Parts: sequence; structure tokens; C-alpha cells
Amino acid sequence: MSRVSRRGLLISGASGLALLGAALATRAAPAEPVSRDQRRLDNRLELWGAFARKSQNLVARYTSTRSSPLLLEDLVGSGSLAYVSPTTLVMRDDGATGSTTRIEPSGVAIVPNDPSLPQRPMPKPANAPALRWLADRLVASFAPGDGSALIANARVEVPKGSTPRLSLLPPRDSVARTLIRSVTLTLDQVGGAVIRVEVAESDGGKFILQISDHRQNVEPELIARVLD
Amino acid sequence: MSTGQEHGRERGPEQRTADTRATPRTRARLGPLPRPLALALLGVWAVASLFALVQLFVGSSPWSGATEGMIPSEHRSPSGRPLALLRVDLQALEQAASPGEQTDPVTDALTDPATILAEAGFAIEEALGQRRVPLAPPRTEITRWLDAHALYLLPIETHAALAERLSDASMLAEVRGLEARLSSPLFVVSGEQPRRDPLGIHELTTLEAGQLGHVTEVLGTDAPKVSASGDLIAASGDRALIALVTDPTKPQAEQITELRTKLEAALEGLPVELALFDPSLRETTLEHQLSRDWTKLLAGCFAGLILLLAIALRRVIPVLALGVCLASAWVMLVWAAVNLELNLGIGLGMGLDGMELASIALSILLLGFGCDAALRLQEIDSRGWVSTLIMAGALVPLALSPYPLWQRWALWWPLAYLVLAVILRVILPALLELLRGDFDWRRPGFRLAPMPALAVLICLSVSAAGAWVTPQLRYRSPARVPVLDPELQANERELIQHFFDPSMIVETTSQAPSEANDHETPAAAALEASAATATQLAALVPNEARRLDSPGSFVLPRAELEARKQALSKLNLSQRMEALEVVLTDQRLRAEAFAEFVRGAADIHDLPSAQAALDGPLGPWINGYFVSEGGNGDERVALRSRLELRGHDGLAQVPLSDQRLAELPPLRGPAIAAMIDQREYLRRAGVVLLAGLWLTAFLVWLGTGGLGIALACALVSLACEAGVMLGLSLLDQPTGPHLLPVILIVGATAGVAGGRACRAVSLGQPIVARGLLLAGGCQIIAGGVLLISAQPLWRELGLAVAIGSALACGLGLFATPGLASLFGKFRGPRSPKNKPSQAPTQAPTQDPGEPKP
Repeated sequence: MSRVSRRGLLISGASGLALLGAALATRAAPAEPVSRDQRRLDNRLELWGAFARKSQNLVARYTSTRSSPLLLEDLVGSGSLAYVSPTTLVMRDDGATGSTTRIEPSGVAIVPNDPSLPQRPMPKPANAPALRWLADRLVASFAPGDGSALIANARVEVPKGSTPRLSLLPPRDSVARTLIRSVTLTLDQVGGAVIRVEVAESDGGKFILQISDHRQNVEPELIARVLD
Repeated sequence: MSTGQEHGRERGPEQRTADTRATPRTRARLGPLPRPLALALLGVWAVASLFALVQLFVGSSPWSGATEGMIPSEHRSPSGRPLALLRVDLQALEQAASPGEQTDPVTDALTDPATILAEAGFAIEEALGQRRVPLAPPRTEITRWLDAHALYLLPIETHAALAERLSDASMLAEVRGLEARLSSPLFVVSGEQPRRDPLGIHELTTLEAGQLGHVTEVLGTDAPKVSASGDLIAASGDRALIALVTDPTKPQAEQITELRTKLEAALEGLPVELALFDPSLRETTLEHQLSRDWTKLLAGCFAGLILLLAIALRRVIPVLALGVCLASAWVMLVWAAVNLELNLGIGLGMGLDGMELASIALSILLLGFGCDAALRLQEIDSRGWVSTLIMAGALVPLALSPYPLWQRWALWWPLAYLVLAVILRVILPALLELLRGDFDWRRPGFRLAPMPALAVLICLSVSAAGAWVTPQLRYRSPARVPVLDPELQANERELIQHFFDPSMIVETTSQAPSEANDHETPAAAALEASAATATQLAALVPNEARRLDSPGSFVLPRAELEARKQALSKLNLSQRMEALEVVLTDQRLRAEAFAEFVRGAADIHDLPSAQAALDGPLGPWINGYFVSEGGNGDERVALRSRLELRGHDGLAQVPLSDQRLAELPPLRGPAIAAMIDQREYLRRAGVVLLAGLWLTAFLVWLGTGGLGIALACALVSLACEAGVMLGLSLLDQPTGPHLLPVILIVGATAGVAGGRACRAVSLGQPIVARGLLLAGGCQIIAGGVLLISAQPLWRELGLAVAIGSALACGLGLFATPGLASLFGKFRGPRSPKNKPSQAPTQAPTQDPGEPKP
């Protein structure tokens, strides 16, 4: 009697557990399938983050190309780029005919390298949403993080192709849209470093920054050479 | 307590009720009047009340949504220029866009807010034709105009700097600097416009910033832009603001409804939401709210009053009769407010033109404060009319104020209060006798011992504290009455956030001089005059004003033009521009890209004159600013200029001093009225309150004959008014002209309460505090009903009334006798102290429970 009871108990217990499992399985919401676009975006951000996550500071070389209806031919230059976490980015052209672009917590400035050339005042980022948007995107391209700062306040597209790219567009209700069409980052296929930044402007102009020779977490003296 | 009081004066209350029904004398009288006369008056009253009641329901709506009653007429918002805000439905666009959308130009065009707004603009232009007008100068035309005359915009004082900037070395440096900046990724968002100004010449005109209105806003900033058709486009790009015009000779509300129908039909099928703005729309919304809220307010007030009186008096029929009398007075007041146009014979219409927000509140207060006339407490004088006169005259000092609505109420309150008092003192007793009812509120009183030290201490401390906090209280502008409609409030916030604040717009007009130049049309002369005005107003931008909107900004007076032309001709501009083209090409820049600037700078013969502007593509836009001023055969063309002051809710952030205002062209608008009033408010309020105190003291002196009592009453009134300000300060409430009537009323109430207490003390009678508390309770109920209402303005008034009534009751009762005893003037008015039985106010002495003096 007692043996039968034990067996019955085991059978009924197992049946109950099976039923409970089946009920829970039917009640559980089906996992939402991750869309293909989302998956590709996640992959790009993961690749980007693999490099950027480690950047407390960064020094790199660049070649810039400006296309504009104002110019007879493309304006090509080269220079050094320095990023210091969290929000300082300086791009210093090599030649005296170029300029230095400074994005710092204290403000944004474009200073001709030749001190005899006139300098124009820049609006404060707080009063110029378009300036703020582009400066934020440029800084976020090199800043460590999970990518949320990079894609914040932007529409994101992941262009198809074998080269990993990420396009950031101003939101539909953004002032920046009147001046900027998109900022497209091209990532290194292996390391994830940003190797090209392309700014497409609303007037048909284009600015391309080809970045190479990335060096992360370098000595402060090396950074200072670009910053100062 | 009211009925039978006069004729039953010589007898005790027990006998009086029985005797009034028995004796032939009382049978011959009904209330205080002979029976036939009383019956006739009752009939007239009943017919008048019924007539007013029927008119209230059958006739036109008595409620008015007017919000600028306290603003002088010359400063009120102009009508006939509604605005339409178009908002692209971005959610609908996002849903329509396919997931993973690419930057396909075709797809982008279909879902682009700019394209949708342009489509909407075309649709509205087709549907409304001439009723849609440009809000700003069309972008292309004004840009071309400014570029063509860029150098003329520079004052002659800057020409030396201009010459230096046009030198070879300087031009080379400027162009090389431009090239250097072009190598930055941020160049496009730097706000620089090299095509229009490659040499940075606009830097020389920074002192004249603001003259160019919307068109000088730097790209990429939060400021709105101008569309190709002259509408404003929000910086976010998803909203547009379109100006419309209506016929001023037709009812504005009907035209707005018609416009809305046409606009909605024109925008059908487009993902666009529409919001209209016009002062008449605010008024209509407020009118709807008032037509809904007045029933709650009135019902609440009557419920509170009847409940309080029924509990205190323990009678139903007399209390209901009192309620009917109060209701009849209120109905007659509302009817008169709509239909009666009082004229003082000085050409000044004193009609209320309907019951608007503040008038409804005052009519409710009238009910609460009018109960005093029915209760007929211990009186200040022998006849018992002084307290009525004090209360009726409470708002008379408002005639000294500059607020049109309050000036009207300075006349309407006394009339309404006196009518109410007559009804309560003549009709109500007769009615009660017919209904065989009477009040019985008499209870034993108590003898009040004057406490001079305490009274002085309380009055001084409250007055000092009130005087100290009053200048620190927030000021509520009479220019912006809040309308409690979530949709309207959200739309107004959106308009302010993306475009401008209509409550901050002020305007002025520039007339053509009478001796106009023969070579100019009157319109051109007016435009030239407007140029001088615009120069003066531009000095206010950007510190005091945010934006200037004036066609005069784009032209110069002929004399100035000639002077600038002469100065420019010395600069060899054609030669300099040729040199610039060479420099540009040498530096690998495309010279054609700067052709507009080069051409405009080289050609100094094309003058930005008024006539040229009127004859050119800017003409249609400028025509919208012309107005006709004067009359009787002396009509002259004038041009309007508008200025958006910095600030919010109709209050300027940086007030202009009187001297500055006098130097400027005469500015008009609610914000200017509020700015002046904010500066003058304390002085204006002081004059009005002093007049109120004097009037109260004068009437008390007339009633009592005691100067000390009158002085004590005035001081207690002052302390009570200061106490209200102190209470408002502690509760973080604002002050402003809207509170003036309430402060005057509570001051008068304190004076009445003080006069009664002093009178009782001087006669050696006990004070029947129950009656005074009952009257105070009625007043607090009226204030309390306003306090729990929906309208913010009513709540502020109600709070002040509730605080003031409580203070008036307490201070009047306990502080005034102390102050009066201090002044040592407790002389019996006209009856000696040792003959209280002959005193006219006998009610308390008739009480059997009351100790005989």
C-alpha cells in the first residue's frame, strides 16, 4: 500500500510539474524577434565600442577634404586629432593656411593657424542647436561608452555593404536638419576604430575626415602637443 | 431682526410678534412702510425681478470673456489679425515611413515637414486669397534687397573701418581666413554666410542688430525663419505661422469660425494640425467657461449663505425669503450690466458691457457683503444707514484709479449695494410679514473692555508687516488674464516657444509729415518716417526687446541716403570689388559664388529709398503695415511698427523708465500698460486706499460724531488691508490691480465692524458678537466660494476676501474700541451715555437675556 502510494505520489507530482511547465510555457509571451535593422545596428555599435570603450584619450592623424560650391577645387589638408575624455576634441591642421577646431566644455572655436588672419566669433552651442548637434556627434564618435550617446538625438541608419558604416541623421524636428544632412562614420572592420567621418551638408557641400594612425591612452605630453 | 424692528422698538420681543398681528396700527403697515405702498413696492419688485430673470434666460448671453477691462483702451490688443499655426503631425509621418528607411531623396521629399508645410501654405493661399498676408518680408526678396544695399546699411561713422577692410591686404587676409575656416568640419554650422558677406562687413553693423527683424537670424539657431511666401517657419522646421486678416466691421468671432472652416477644408488630406490665435478666441473660450462656471459659483454661494443663516437663525422661511431677495438683486444687477448703458454726461460710457470674469466675482461678493444690510446689527448711527453707506461707498475710490473696469465699478457697486440694501430693508420686512416669519438672532451679548495697549500693538505690528511685504509681493499683470483651457494654454505655449509671445508685442505708428516732399507719395513719406522710428526702436534690441518688425528697418531717410551715397562714392567701390574677385580666384575660391555681394557693393546708384521699396517686390508686404489715422477730413497715412519686448505673460523683463519711454515713439500695447502700471502700482493703490480710508472715517464721524472713533476705524481698516497683504505674502500669492476692490471692501468692512463696536462701548451696551460673526461668516462664505472655484483670478480674490473678512471681524471688534479709548473720544454721538434706552439701536437692549445698562 505504501509502495503504491509512493509511486502514485511520484507520478502525480511529475504530472503536475509537467502541466505547470506547459501552462507557464503557453502563458509566457513569445520573445520579440530582433529586427534585422536592429541587429545590424547592434553589431555596428558593438564593433565601434570595441575600440572606443578603451579611449581615455586618443591621438590620430587625419586627411581632410572639403567640397563646396564656394571652392574651385576640393580643399585638401592634413593634421592631427586629439580626443580627451569626456568632451574635448581638437583637430589641428598641419599648415599655416589651415585652422584648429576646438570642441571643449568651455565652448567651440575655429581658429586659423596663422594668427594674423581674422577670426570670426562662434555662437555659443547653447544658442546654436545645429552647431551643438554636430559638435556632440563628433565628440561622441571618439568617446568611450555603449553607443547610446552616439545615437542620442539622431536618426540612425546602417548602410548596407561590406564596409561597416553608421549614418547619423538629425531628427525630423531638429534645427540641424537645415544645415546637415548626415554624419556617416566608417569603422575599421577589425578593430572598430573610426577611420572616416563624412559630413554631408544641406547645401551640397561635403567634409571628409580620413583618420589613421590611432593611438589610444597616450602620454599627456603627446596629447598636449595637439591640444596646445 | 430686520422686520418689526423699527415699529416694535418700544416693546419687548415677545409681545412684538403677537402685537404686530393684532393692533390696527401694525395692520396698517407692512414692514417699515404703509401697507398700500409696501404692497405696491412688492409688486414692482416682483415684476422687475421676473422680467430680469426672463431676460437672463431668453436674451443674449450676459457673460463676457473680455480680458482687457483693466487696460486703458489705447493700449488694448488690436483685433483683425488672427494667426494660424500649422503643425506637421510627426507621429503620422513616422508611422508612414517604412522601417529602416534610407535617405532616398524621393522618400525624403514625400515625408519632409518642409515640403508638407509648403504644400499647406499653397493650399491656404489658394483658399483664402487676400485674407492671407505675409507675416514677414518674403525671404528671397528681402535677402536680395539687403544684399544689394549691404553697404548702405553701414552708418557713415563706420566708413573708415569699411575702407580699411576693402584694402588689398585686408581683403587678402579675410579671404585666406575664410579658406582656413573652411577646413573645419564645423564651418557649415558656425553661422557664417560667406556668399553674402565674404569680408565680414556685417561685423561693422553689430550696433544696428535687430533692425533687420527676422531676416538677420543666423541659420541653425532657435529663431524662426521666413519662408519664401513670407510665413514664419519654426527653427525645428515642423511648424509654420501664417498671418490672416479679417474685416474689422464684421463680428470677429463669426469670421474666425468661417476662417477655421475654410482652413480645415484647405488642409484636408495633409498631415497637418491647425491652431488659430486671436484675442476674440480667448474671449470666446473664457465666455464659454464663465457661462458654465457661474451656476456653480452662484449655487455654491447661495447654498453656503442659506446653510449658515439657517443654522444660525434656526428659521427656514425667513432665510429663504432673504435668499430670494438676494437672488432678485443679483438677477437685476446682471440684467442691468448687459442692458443698461450708464452715461455720466461727460461722454464716458459707464456700462459694464456684460459680466466678465472680475464682475462676476464682485457680484458674488455683493451677495456676501450685502447680507449685512439684512441682518441690521448694532448700528453706528441712529438711523442705521451709515454702515450701508460705508459699504456702498467702498469702491467709490476706484474712480481715482486708471483702470477702466474699476472706474465703472466705482459707480456700479454703490448702485447695486444701495438697491440691495433697499430690497433687504424695505422689501424683505414686508415679505416676511406677509409670510408671517421673522428672524430671531438675538442672544446675550458681552461687555467689551477696550484694550488700548493690545490694540495699538496689534494694529501697528500688522500695518508695519503689511507695509514691509507689500513692495515685495509678486505683481500680476492686468495684461494677461489666465484662461483655464488646456488646449488653448498648450497652443499659446507652443506659439511662444517656437515663434513669439503675442502678449509682449507693442506697436507704434509713424505718420507722414504734413509738409510732405512733392517728389514723394504719402506712403513713401510715411515709410521714411517709419525708418526714423525703426532706428529709435532698434536701440532696444536685444536688451529690452527681442525683435523689431518694421518695414522702416529696410529703408533710410532720403537725406541720410544722400549722405551715405556721397561717403561711399569716395571708396572707389567698383575698383575694390574687381580686386576682390582677383583675390578670391587666387585663393582657389569661385568668384561667381560671391557675385551677389560684389554686384550689390559695386552699384551704389541703386538706393534703398522708401519709394524704391514700395515700387519693388517688397511693396505688397509693406502695404500690410499701412493704417489710416486721424479723421474728419484730416486722414493721414501712417505705418505701423511692432516690437516684441523681452518678458512673458505681458510683463517686460527689463522695464523702460519714464524718461526712456518719453524719448521713444509712443508705444502702445498691453505690455506697455502693464509696464507702466507695475511701476506705478503702489502709488496708484496708495491713492485709492487712502481715499477709501478717508471716506470710511468721514462716514463714521458723520454717524458717531466722534473724531476719535472715526480715526480708530480708519486705522483698523488700514491694519486690516495691511493684514491682507501680509496673508497674501505668506501664502506666496501675487498682488496687482485686480485685488484693489477686495482690499477696499475689507477695509470698509473693518471700519463698519469697528464703528459698531465703538458705538456699543460708548453707549455702554453689550456687544452681540453673534450678529457680527454671522455677518463676517456671510462675507467669508462669498470669499470661500471664489476660493474653491476653477478660475485662478477668482481664487486669488476669494483668498484675499476670506483673509480680509476674518481680520475685519476680529480687528474691528476687539482693536477699534481700544484705539478709540486711547484717543479718549468716547463721546456719545447724539445721545447721552446715561440714556441708552433712548438710543436708536435697540435690538440688543430688547433682548430679555441681556443685562440692562
